Amino acid sequence: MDRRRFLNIGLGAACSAAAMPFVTPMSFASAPGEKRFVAIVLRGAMDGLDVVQPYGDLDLRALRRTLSLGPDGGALDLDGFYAMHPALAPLLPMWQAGQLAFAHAVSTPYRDKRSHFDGQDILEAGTSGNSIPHNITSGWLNRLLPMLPGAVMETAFAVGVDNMAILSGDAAHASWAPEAGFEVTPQAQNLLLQLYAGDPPFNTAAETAIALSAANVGGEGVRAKEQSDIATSLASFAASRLNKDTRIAAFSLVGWDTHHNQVGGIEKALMQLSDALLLLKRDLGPNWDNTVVMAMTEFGRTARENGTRGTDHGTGGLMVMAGGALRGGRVYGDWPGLAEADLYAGRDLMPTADVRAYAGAALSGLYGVAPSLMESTIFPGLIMPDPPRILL
Amino acid sequence: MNYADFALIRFGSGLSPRYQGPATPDALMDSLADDTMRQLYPSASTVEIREMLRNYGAARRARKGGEAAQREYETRRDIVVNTATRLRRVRLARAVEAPVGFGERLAQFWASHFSMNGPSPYAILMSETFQDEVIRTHQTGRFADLLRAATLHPAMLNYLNQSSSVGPGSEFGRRRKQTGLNENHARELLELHTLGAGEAYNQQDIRQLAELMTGVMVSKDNEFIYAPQRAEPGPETVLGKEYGGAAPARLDEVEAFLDDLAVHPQTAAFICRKLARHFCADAPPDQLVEAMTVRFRETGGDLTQVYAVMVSHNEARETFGQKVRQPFDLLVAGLRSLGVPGEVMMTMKLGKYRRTFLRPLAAMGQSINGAPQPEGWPEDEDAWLTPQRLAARIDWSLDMPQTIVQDLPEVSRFVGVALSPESAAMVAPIVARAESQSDGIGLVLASPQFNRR
Repeated sequence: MDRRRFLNIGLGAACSAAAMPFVTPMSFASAPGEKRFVAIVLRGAMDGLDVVQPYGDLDLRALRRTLSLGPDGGALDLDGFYAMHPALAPLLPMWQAGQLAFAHAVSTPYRDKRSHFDGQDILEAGTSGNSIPHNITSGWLNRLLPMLPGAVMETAFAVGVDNMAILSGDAAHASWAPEAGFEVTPQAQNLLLQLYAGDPPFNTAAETAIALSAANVGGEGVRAKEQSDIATSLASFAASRLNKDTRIAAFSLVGWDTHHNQVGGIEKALMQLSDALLLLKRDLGPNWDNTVVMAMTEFGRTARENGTRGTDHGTGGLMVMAGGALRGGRVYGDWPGLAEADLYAGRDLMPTADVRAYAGAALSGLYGVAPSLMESTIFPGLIMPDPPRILL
Repeated sequence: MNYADFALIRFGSGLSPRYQGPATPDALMDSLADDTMRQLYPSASTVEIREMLRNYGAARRARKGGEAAQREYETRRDIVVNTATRLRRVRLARAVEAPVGFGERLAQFWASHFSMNGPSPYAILMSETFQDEVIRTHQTGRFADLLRAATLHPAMLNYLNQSSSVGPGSEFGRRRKQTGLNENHARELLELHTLGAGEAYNQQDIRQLAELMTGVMVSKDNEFIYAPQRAEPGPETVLGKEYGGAAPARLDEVEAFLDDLAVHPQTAAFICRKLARHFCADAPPDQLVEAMTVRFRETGGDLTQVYAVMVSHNEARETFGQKVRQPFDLLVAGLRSLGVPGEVMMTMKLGKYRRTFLRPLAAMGQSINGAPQPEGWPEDEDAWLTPQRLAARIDWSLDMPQTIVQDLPEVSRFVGVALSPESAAMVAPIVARAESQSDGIGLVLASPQFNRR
């Protein structure tokens, strides 16, 4: 696949963003509607079978000796078939309130190669097949933006130091890492912009940095002091923007690549995810009722535990959903089973639904995007005749 | 621009009032033979690190045996932590002090190619000795030797979980049912270190290679060992050729595959494109990549020959300014432009070193502990030029000079030292209007001309 071309999109976005610089920071006209969508990319391939454990499937125990032991291992029973990893216990009230849901056995169309980097590119491009077609030069959230009436740069926000390909593309969007501090005198700022005037990538980044640092003075953002605070820092900044003019936010959480001693590794990653969701709910206040959060990963992991008490790169995985606009308290999806013959390539959870069908259902429900546009433009190649009814 | 300036900016550590730069491509290539920096700022060998960790481990186990044992443990622990801190400074010091710095730049490139990371003293020690012993030793030789040394080094075997991969049908695997195959190293070896993601291999190749590589591991004493009792019996077919099958299994069966892989045509193309992407342009001219690839294949992967094609190629000159300096290189170039000697990196107080270098590096997106993923650092400029990362570059440029240098140079003179004459002409009129001398210096360092090469 032509990874270079896809990643280069950021540059295009930067150029078009330069055409609409911040005038006075955050002085935009009212954003389109009240609905909010947050995408969290879980980088490293989350083991869905461990996060929401299908303990009612008797084949699970044969595949996993030390992992995913269901309620016997402290997991929290959800519905008599699935149990939630104990590290997500703080989310139990959210589940009980019907504001937390999962979609199991989902995947992107990416198959067999199981490379994190290609898998994430496909997830964020939202395309069909194992490589990104040449006519696609953007991430799927970026292609949504022109369909939102009155969308401006501030409408969509990429949060954190990671490059969010899911939001890159021709439509302008904002980005900032809440952990960055930035103070420049007015004269130095003026001279910097003169230095950068002839170099668009520098120019765009500098203009945005200046505007955001001005806007963030005295802001609500939490500054991350430790690695474990990063999730709350990202979520807190995202919530502060979503409470203003932002309607789409994206950030990523890492730490899911648990080849080795998964018990400890996944617990840390799940605590980050749990913290982020709880903080979004708290800080969004009344806006939480208009919000859908979707956390998705590039692919699942092997159904079998490997020789080092971990799992390797697989196929079918899990999507985590939250928000007051969600019809939650349930695990969506057709369960494929874990018998030898049911596994994908004899090793992975068989995907029974496309991650994009759930995301598409959320976006068309929240923003009224027609299914035909969803299938042709946002998720080209996706066929969603009967979108899952995941919204209230 | 003369070749000396071009070479220092594009292939070396950057311009400096202390050094002239190599006048010709041959002189630039000759600089690779100069080993002075490694002697001046020595790292530690894998054997030394192993000994240090062994002593630490023994002292830790014995630390409950009274006051003297506890003191011994603390001493050994401090040695480990302090060595880790020192070794991280060595790379910075060498790059700043090197007359040219091409060898240091290549070492950075290969460290990202054979990426590993981790914040623990153990991970730092292993990674730094890997960079010195494996990369610095082999980066000017045959790629096959570099690949073999990198693939079989304890640091890599631990990082990519090879050490715990066991053949399910092996003597060890049959006895210990909870062990099994781990295909992480096999996958990254093909995708990231040699062939690149694409059509050259499939999942079956990865599986077979993972089986072929079983037996390759690290002992509890951090030593590379080959354990035939863990090797999957029988031959494996990887990339259409059969390897292995000896009973008991032998290491040279794995090495035979690595030797073939190192000179695979797709490896040649992948490595050469990556070098050209790193040194010349995010989208390197095909002509340049092709010339390098041809030389790679003609010479059986003689890396010095490949570099020689690159540094003398017309397209390397034509694409000047298209690369954004990575954060580590920006720090190095900034210090050099101010005439700071490398020794300062070694002697600076830890707190100041953290504030002035480690934290800014992380904020610019390039932690000193290595790339977060096995794919190494990104090459595309948009990865480095996000608003927050550029903000960190600007912050550092404006703050660092007066923190490190007592008598800042005149801004008008500094522009000419830090930049090529062509760039200086563009930047000088703007920075002349800075409110203070330190702002003027900082603006030069923050300019696109200084951040590009």
